[in-house]
Amino acid sequence: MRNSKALQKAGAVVVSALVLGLQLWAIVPRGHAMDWYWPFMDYPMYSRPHFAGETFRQHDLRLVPCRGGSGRERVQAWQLGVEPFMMIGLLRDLDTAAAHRRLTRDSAETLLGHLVSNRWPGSYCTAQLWQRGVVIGAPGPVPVDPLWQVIHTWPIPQRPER
Amino acid sequence: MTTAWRALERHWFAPASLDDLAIVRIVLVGAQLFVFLPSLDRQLWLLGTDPSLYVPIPTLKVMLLPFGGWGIRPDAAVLTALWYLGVLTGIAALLGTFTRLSLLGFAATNTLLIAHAYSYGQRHHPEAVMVMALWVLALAPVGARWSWDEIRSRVRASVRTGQFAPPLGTDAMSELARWPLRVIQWLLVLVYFSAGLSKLVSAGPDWLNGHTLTYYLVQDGLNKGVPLGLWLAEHPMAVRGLSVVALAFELSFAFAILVPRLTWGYVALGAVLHLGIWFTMQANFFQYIFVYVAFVETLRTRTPVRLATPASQRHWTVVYDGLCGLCVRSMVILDYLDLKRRLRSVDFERNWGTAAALIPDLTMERARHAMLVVTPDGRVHSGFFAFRAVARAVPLLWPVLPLFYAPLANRIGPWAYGQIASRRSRHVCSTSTCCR
Repeated sequence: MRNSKALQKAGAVVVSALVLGLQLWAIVPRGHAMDWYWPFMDYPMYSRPHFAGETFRQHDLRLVPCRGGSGRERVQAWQLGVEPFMMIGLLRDLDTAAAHRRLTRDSAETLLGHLVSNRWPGSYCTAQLWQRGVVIGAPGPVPVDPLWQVIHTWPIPQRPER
Repeated sequence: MTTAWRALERHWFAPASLDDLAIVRIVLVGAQLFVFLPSLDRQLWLLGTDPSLYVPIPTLKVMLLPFGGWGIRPDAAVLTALWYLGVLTGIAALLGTFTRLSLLGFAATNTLLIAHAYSYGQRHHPEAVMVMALWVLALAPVGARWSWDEIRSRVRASVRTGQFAPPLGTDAMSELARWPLRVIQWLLVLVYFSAGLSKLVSAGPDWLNGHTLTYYLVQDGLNKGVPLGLWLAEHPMAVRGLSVVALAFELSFAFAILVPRLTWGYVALGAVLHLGIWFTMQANFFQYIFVYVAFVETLRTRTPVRLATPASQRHWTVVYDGLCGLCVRSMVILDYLDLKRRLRSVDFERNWGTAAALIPDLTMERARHAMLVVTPDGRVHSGFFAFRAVARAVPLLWPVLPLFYAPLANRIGPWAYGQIASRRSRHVCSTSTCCR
């Protein structure tokens, strides 16, 4: 009886040390996200600093139909089958790449084009990245609906006819 | 060294209430089952996404090994079956049926489903602590109280001994009841500390400049359409104050464990912060509010407001047949449901003197015929009416009262009781050794 209780306690010690040890290992700062070993992960969200005068930019993906006309259709993440945060990241990457003419633009452009042409084959020929911004720390009320403007346009590759 | 070791052992293994552990099981399993269970629709929607987006995380790879190999993508049938298994094991764990096994199943299915959702490029934070808490609870004696397992074992003990087993009592303690709560508490400390540490490492004092939090309020306000966040972003002093409070809370949450008189404050502040974060940024961390139940012992013993009322001195005495298996089982269940401890019981076969003193005109034949209840004002009810009197005294039975007082219940009830009572078997002793 006494041995059994001691064994159970030893088991509890091992489990506690393992769970807390793995969590402790995950939260050691390393300069990169430690979320790969979910559920053991670090919690770096909302941690980067921002300053007065900085602009927060929001992005939107809009598609121009191949049939022509002036209509542009806003695309939500779920319509493309991607997570909202992933879509935000892709559009932000595209904005940064477009601004700095970096090669990474190609991968974001390619992936988004691939997703659009897979989802709506032959329907859309051009994609547009729209942006609106809010300056942090600016006097006065924060605009609830700032104006959008197009900052980048690229063609969507069409899938070959089968 | 010995003192430190003893303090450590006390911290993790000092006897703790099994009731508290059961409360934690019920709250966490209930929350995960009814509020946070991954949606099956979303799981199936993920299967329809582009295959190039599927990058399984190690947790998923390991858990899917039995289903076909390393790194496979589960199909709809597997995910659907696992989801239903999760619901079934969740219900079983909540009720405490084969508690450890069902809780292990519930933890495993939830882990797998969430890991699947996090294998498409994005991983989020709210579920991690809850999932780890479920696993830890599954390894602890969480089914010892408030569970079908407990009722079953008490009924079994009563049937084996031929007597209505004495109740476990509300102060059942175990040396193995504290460590799972401590693990969950320290997990919360590490998680909050990680959030605070990341802010210090990435931003240092700049995180408190007010503009940082303003930026995030604007970001989530616009991305998620939250006007309250945008409104708050216009109040720099309030935002700066909130930054200080949030960072201090994250870095110092260990005091919620180390200084028990601060626990209520930390838990209340944490709940307010998480609700505030939801209303201003729509970042959903509601799981944490439920996980705070791991502090149940401190919250219960150091409650700032005394809500408990003095226990009632009014008792209903049930006179039952201790040689009838069905009667003994019924007594075990009634005793279990009697949270306010209003019922007293007398086995007339073993305590005839007590029973006869309670009911002066009691005969052995009448006692054997049906269950009797003596109410606090001395009235005696028999059979169906006795059961109805007990139901009035036990709040957990109040839901069945409308049935007992329905039209024709006075006729159908005694008839049904008679039918059941006439079929019950009595274990009548033939030797002096079996009846004590």
